[in-house]
Amino acid sequence: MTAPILELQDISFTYPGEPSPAIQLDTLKLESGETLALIGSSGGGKTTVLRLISGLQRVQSGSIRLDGNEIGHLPPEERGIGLVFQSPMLFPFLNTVENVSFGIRSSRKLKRQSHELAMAGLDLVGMADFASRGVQTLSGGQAQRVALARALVLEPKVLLLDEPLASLDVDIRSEMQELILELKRNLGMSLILVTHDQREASLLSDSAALFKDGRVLQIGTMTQLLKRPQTLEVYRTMGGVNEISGRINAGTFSSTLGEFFLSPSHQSGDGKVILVFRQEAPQLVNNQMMTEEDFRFSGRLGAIRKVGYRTELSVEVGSEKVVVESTSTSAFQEGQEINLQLSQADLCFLPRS
Amino acid sequence: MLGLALLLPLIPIGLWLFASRWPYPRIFPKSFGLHGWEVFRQSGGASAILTSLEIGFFVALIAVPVALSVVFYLGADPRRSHPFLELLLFSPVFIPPFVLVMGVSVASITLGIPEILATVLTLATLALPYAIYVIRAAYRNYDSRWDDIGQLLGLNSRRTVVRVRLPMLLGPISAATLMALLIGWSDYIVTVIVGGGRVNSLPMLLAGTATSAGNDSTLSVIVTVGIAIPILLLLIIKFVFKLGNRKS
Repeated sequence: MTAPILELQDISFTYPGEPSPAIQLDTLKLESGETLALIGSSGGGKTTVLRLISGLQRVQSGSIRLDGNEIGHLPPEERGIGLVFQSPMLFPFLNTVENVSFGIRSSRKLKRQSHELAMAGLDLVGMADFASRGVQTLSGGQAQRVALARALVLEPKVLLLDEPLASLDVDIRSEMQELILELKRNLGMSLILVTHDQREASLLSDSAALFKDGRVLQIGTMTQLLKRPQTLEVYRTMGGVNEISGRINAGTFSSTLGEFFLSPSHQSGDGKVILVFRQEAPQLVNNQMMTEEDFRFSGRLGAIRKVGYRTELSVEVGSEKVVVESTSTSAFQEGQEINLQLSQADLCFLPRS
Repeated sequence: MLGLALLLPLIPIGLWLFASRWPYPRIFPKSFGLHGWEVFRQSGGASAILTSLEIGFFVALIAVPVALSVVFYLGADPRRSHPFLELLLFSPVFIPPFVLVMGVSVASITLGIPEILATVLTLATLALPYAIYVIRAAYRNYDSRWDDIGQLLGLNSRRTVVRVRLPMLLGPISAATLMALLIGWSDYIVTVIVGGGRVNSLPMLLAGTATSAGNDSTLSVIVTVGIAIPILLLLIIKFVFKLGNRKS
């Protein structure tokens, strides 16, 4: 097993004048060539972590190792880390190619080849034709491509992306997502991506760290974070709303939804539990299809809300309320009786305190 | 219409520049020539221009870097307050200029400071609050992430200031430089009092010419030079800053 390209250990950071730490991190690792997404609500500390890695903020305790070397004490210009902000931040007093070559010229090593290298960087992001254009004339997506090229030409060991696509239109965002995937494939880049968009994190990342109040709540793949939260806090932070209290006894889960046999993977022990599942998990089924082995239950339809092409259904099941997001085109009516089915893979049981 | 209203008073000045004789009540000059320019040259016009330029240049050279240092020290965050320092820096605005000028005059005579140097230092002190005000107003909107980008692209803190922050603040720096230049270029009171009448700047020449009769042509030349050179300086400043950025 190879050592991670980047490793943060026991990091603590408090902003001056603040009573509590903004970051308290046990460990965070990035494997070479992989993409780690930092997700979570605003103010969770994701951007601060990027600032600590890049050296724009100095860690007060703990270590940051890049490729096995401690870099926590180094200034940003000596770390070999690239960072792209949400806003492209292209220097308005330079044209497109000069913006890209700025870093190369600053390093003094490759000053003579700076133009050629910058042009190659622009070519990489499909912006070579815009080299002599003023940056004010570029669209948001084009400017972000140039910002990406500016960071890439310095060949950083790790590239940090701080919500680089957040301010882009949907179609441009898709293009940029494709570009990032392509760059990752072709250059084998190691990336850390801060995003609020779970779909984007799922698409671009190999793993994700969920942040809240400066702490990592859970690290795993996006599927694990969505479907296998380790705590109720993780489940809620990931946007989950379905929490059903019940009890597991001898491989059977009993709750307001009914009694269900559990597959061996869920039979970890008896006791009080909370069943959680994603809103997208329940499938609408009709009565005739119901069998004993399935995790099925029925309820009365409450509020119905259209969310884009999906319909959000609030279903009353006894004293519990289950929220279901359906892509069904059926016409729903309030008060209607509906039957729902959950796959065993969609179930997650958390201990009830 | 506004442009026309502003230009109208300049027409007689323009005509006087090349008028030899323009007796009342003629609408246009009776004869044309370079009489005004000749008198301007003979009365030390070129030397006065150089002295005024020198004063303006050194006033800007002192006031703008000091203003920049102060603004960077005070920081971009408007919540960071330094009331005593700000009061001290802006005191030349609150204290009547005469008090300041007389004080500096006495001090410079006592200390034996050369008149031109004392004049420049006094004018730089007077220009400083305005230079700070102009630069600080812009710096409050300065996004510190520009500095971050500079450092991430390989610059150390000092080079980030030179290659990123200063070019980003080019507009206010140019404005402050021009303003300081103009304060030095156009000053009369400080030059008279602190200079002890021995600093022959363009405003001194203008005042001398204006107080004697029959010098309308020469007066027009001095006024025109007094207006044209700052405009030229403005263009040069813009050009130099632009060139500097391209080469950085």
